[in-house]
Amino acid sequence: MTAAAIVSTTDLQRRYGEGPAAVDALAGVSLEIARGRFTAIMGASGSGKSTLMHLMAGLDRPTGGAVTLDGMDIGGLDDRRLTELRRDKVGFVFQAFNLLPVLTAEENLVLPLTIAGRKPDRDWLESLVDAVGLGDRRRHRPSELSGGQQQRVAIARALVSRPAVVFADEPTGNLDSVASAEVLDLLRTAVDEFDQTVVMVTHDATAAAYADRLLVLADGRIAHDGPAGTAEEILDVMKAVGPAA
Amino acid sequence: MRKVALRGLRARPVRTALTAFAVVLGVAMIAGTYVLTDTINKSFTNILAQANAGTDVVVVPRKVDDDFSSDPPPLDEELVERLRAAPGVRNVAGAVFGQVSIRDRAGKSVSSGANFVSSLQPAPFEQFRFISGRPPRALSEVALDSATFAESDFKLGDRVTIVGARGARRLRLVGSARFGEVASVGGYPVAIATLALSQELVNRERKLDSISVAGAAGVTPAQLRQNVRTALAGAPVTVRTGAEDAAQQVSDLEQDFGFFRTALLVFGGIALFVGAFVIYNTFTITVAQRTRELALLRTLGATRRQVLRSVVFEAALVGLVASLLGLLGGLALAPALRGLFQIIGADLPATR
Repeated sequence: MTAAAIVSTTDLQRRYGEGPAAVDALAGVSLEIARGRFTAIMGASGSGKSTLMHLMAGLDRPTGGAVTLDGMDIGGLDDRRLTELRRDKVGFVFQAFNLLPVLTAEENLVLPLTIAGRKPDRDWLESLVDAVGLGDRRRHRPSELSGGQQQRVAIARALVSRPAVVFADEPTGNLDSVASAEVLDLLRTAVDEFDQTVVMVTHDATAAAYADRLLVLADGRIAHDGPAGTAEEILDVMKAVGPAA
Repeated sequence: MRKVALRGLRARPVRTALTAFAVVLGVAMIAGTYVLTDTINKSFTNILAQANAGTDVVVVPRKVDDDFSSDPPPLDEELVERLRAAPGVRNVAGAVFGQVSIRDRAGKSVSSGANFVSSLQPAPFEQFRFISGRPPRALSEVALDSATFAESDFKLGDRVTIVGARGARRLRLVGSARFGEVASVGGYPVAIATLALSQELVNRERKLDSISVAGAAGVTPAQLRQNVRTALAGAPVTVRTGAEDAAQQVSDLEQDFGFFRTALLVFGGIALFVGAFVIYNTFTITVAQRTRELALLRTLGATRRQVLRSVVFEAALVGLVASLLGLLGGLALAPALRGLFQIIGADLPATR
């Protein structure tokens, strides 16, 4: 593991079920995610990309291999320590239902700090609100925000605790192209300006083109690893990996 | 986290209100029952204490056995004369009380339940307070409890038929009376007659159900009780002070009215039982619908304990507020229940 790696996996495996019916969602993945970089993970449905993300984020436990996050082997952590790890070291952005409907946008934004019982740093909060473009909508409920705005609040929330790494699972899956571009711009900004490490799972080549690095999974293994390039180049890579991808 | 729970309650006002309502109903029913029955018991205690105010010592036939419910044989009237001669005794009077049938003007029984006759006692022992007319003085006269008097549309001077142990007697109605503070005792119609007529009606010539004794000035009830016991040595009697007798009557009444509390509590219990299911259901649905919300909180680093605490906090808050409302509801329900029983003819004391 190089000094710049914030997340690394060693022969990571995840098997569902037992005996002959067992399915290997992840059949041995070793990789390193560099600090301050934007990594996109692609692959067909069932290729194991979401499983990989869940294992790296401590949402699921591997059946083999190891994950190191910010210098910590997370395989041996009990539930409480894993919870603290998610709270302090990891930010999450999901495809949908990122925000609690009963809280305002700003309350959602600072929720990880609220849960941890900490006060937000005023300047940091303001710069996040600026970056999201929330402006005078900070007291609105999520239902009063557009889908793109909700996702940008979710990204700001993932950034608010300055985690070691932000995991985004199909963050643009429910958005139109304009809103998607805004969300991806914000993730790009997080990497470029806030020096944040971002790992994004997506099946959209346009989204992946915002990343620095492209990882493609097929059948639970890494099928491609290289610089992301343009959307066209990414589509070529996907074609080369396999028709299913 | 507490904020999330509070906001959640506010965001689901109908469900919160319905859950709270289920709790309020059950608690109100239970609280109302206890408020009402405790008020009744307290009132009985007061009424009997008041009715027994002039009585220092009471003599009743000794029960053969506490658990054997058959009435013991009545007292001989000659015991009154023996007591008159006892030291420290100022006043002595005997009384009878028994079952009869009181007929209204159409000749039908005034109530489908039991009817009673109670003998009139001289001051200071009289337990009835006449609110119209006067006490009966002759064998041909009778008075009624004021509830029966009003319900059967009797007027003073009417002819009342009372069927006793020796057949029907047509009597002139001369008054109506309240027992202590209430129009009737538990809704039972009671005729008030002279001792001689009462004895005839319940077939106890020269016999008594109880003897009341008042002491001379300076004699304590305990001393008087001892004097009475000495005077009646050998007779099969139980001698109690007025206070002891009132306590005994209260406890007898409480036993009689125990069914009442039990019945109301059963309703309250059913309300709570059904309420518990409603609440259980509501919280199951709430938690199921909030699974995504709770999962998100867990993902963002909330511990199991934090999530559990927020759900329990929500439930505890609803329970606490609704219970307090239910308690207030119970206070309001008690007089309403009493009104209901008054309408169906059971005037339960609930004041003083």
